Amino acid sequence: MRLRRITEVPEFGVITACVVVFIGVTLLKPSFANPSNLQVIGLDLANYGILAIGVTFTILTAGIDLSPGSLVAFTSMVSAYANANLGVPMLLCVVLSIAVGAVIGYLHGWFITRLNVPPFAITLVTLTAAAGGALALTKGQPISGVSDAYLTLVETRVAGVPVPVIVFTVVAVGAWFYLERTYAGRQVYAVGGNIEAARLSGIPVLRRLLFAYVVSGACAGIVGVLVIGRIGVGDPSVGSGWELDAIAAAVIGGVSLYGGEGRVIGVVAGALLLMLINNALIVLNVSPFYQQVALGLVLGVAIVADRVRAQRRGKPRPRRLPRSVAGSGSASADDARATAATGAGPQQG
Amino acid sequence: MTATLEDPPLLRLRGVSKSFGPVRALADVDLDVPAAAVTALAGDNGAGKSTLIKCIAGIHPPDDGEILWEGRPVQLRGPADAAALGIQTVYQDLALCDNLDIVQNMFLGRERLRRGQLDDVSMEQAAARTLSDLAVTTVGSVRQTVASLSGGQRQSVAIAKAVLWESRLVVMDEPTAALGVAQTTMVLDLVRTLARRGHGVLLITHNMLNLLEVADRVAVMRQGRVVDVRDRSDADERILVDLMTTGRTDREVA
Repeated sequence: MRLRRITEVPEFGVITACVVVFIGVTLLKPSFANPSNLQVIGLDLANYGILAIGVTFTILTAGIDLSPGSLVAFTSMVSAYANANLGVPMLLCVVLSIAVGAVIGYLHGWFITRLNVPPFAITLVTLTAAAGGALALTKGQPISGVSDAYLTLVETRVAGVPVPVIVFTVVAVGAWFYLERTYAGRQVYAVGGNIEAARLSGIPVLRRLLFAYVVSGACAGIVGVLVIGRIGVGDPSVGSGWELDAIAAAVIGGVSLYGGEGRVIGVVAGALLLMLINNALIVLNVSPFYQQVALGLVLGVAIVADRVRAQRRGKPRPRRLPRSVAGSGSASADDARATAATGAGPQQG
Repeated sequence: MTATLEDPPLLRLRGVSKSFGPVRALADVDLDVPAAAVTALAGDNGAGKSTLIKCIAGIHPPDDGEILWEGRPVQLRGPADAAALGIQTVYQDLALCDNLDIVQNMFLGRERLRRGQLDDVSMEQAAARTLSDLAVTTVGSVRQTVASLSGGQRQSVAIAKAVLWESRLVVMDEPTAALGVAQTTMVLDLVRTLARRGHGVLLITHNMLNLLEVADRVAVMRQGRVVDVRDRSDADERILVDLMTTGRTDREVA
């Protein structure tokens, strides 16, 4: 009975997979579990994990954010440019990077809530434009000469734990607290589950949506700082495709692309599983081509598992397009309401 | 049942009108909704029933006319105004979130907090108490998601959600529209329970049999006007059909 309850925790599968992969690879190649290798996994996890948590906020509202990868490049270039070329102190550049991410996230939210632009479309704009902006800033050249403080930030270990991993932990705990312990977080789930019901219950729907995109943008800004420390320069081509890994981590962790379902613990486990597999394939000398295939397969298994779980609960998910692709649908709901209100509809007027 | 000057009804509409562009959805509507009774709103499609309850719910503020709450004139500019007075609306399309459980749905938008955090224990107890007060016993655990409930159970949860907020008037739009026979009986029993507990109930339904079974008073709408209000004892199916289609009747209750 007790065991059954544990296996019914939605995140059970992905957490088990993390443990199995870790033990399995360590048995094959003991160097996998070396502290230095674990630290490398930790640094990768920090980058992808923070992006995954940010993107989770938008997916929970039945939206999506395709921009994080490009935003990492753009915010890190802005930060490095201000620091190396304009002499702005590093700490201010950190704030600048996060603020730029948050402002762009706010703009996403603005277009989605005010103009009813589908999240998929508006963040696709940024995916393209921010990647271009990062290259345009220095005509494609990397920015060297950034403050050593970036490197110090990433290379400092507290009790053997790299600072980025601590940053990731803080972000994860903060996200968990917000989503599971505050009323605003619960309302994010309500918005993702049934936006019309949320509105009728008096929830400030637009504010919750807007906030989700601000969080996602700010998370990209944080990662923008961390990658400078990782590479040692501002690199305009960094982050390309990372948004897909972040979304994959969220989905593997049990976040439903239809919105309103999934927890931070699952996202953390999902990101960890991706990083463990990534690293394991390198340690085991698997060709990089097959690494992509393996990651795709993991994502496929996660999506199928999600469907199976949903059906076992007797809850066939709707066969409509996720709102992230189809737009928020509030316009059509308003039309329906107006039609109902006039009774017979406008054609009879 | 008639309200006197000393005893104003819970809700009184006087000369309420509402237009959408050229469409006159409500024309000079007068209606009293007393406490502790079920007032049914009958009428054909497009008669203005839904518009009327949306005026009462604050979604469509009327263009003209007066709304009196316990005799005092009030302005309903939004759903929050209506909720503050104690008017709760149960919508036809069931405004519940499938992904949340019963407790979370019942407290949606008004979550209880303890030291700044969600107070799930207190919310769960209050939700369970409200459901048992209303004799809603068919739902198993209050922690199951709404998606796993039947249509009748969902409707019961939606009604319980309205009651939880110390509502004085519960407005319902077609609460039995999508339900089977047994579930309809369950929901109608619940409607009667509300009135017995002192709530005013304003109910829209297309189903004449349900209406006659559950209502104390019947108001009939036609082309945006309330053409007749009478006690249940003075109405039968044929009289109501006459009123809905022509606005008048010569029949007596058989």
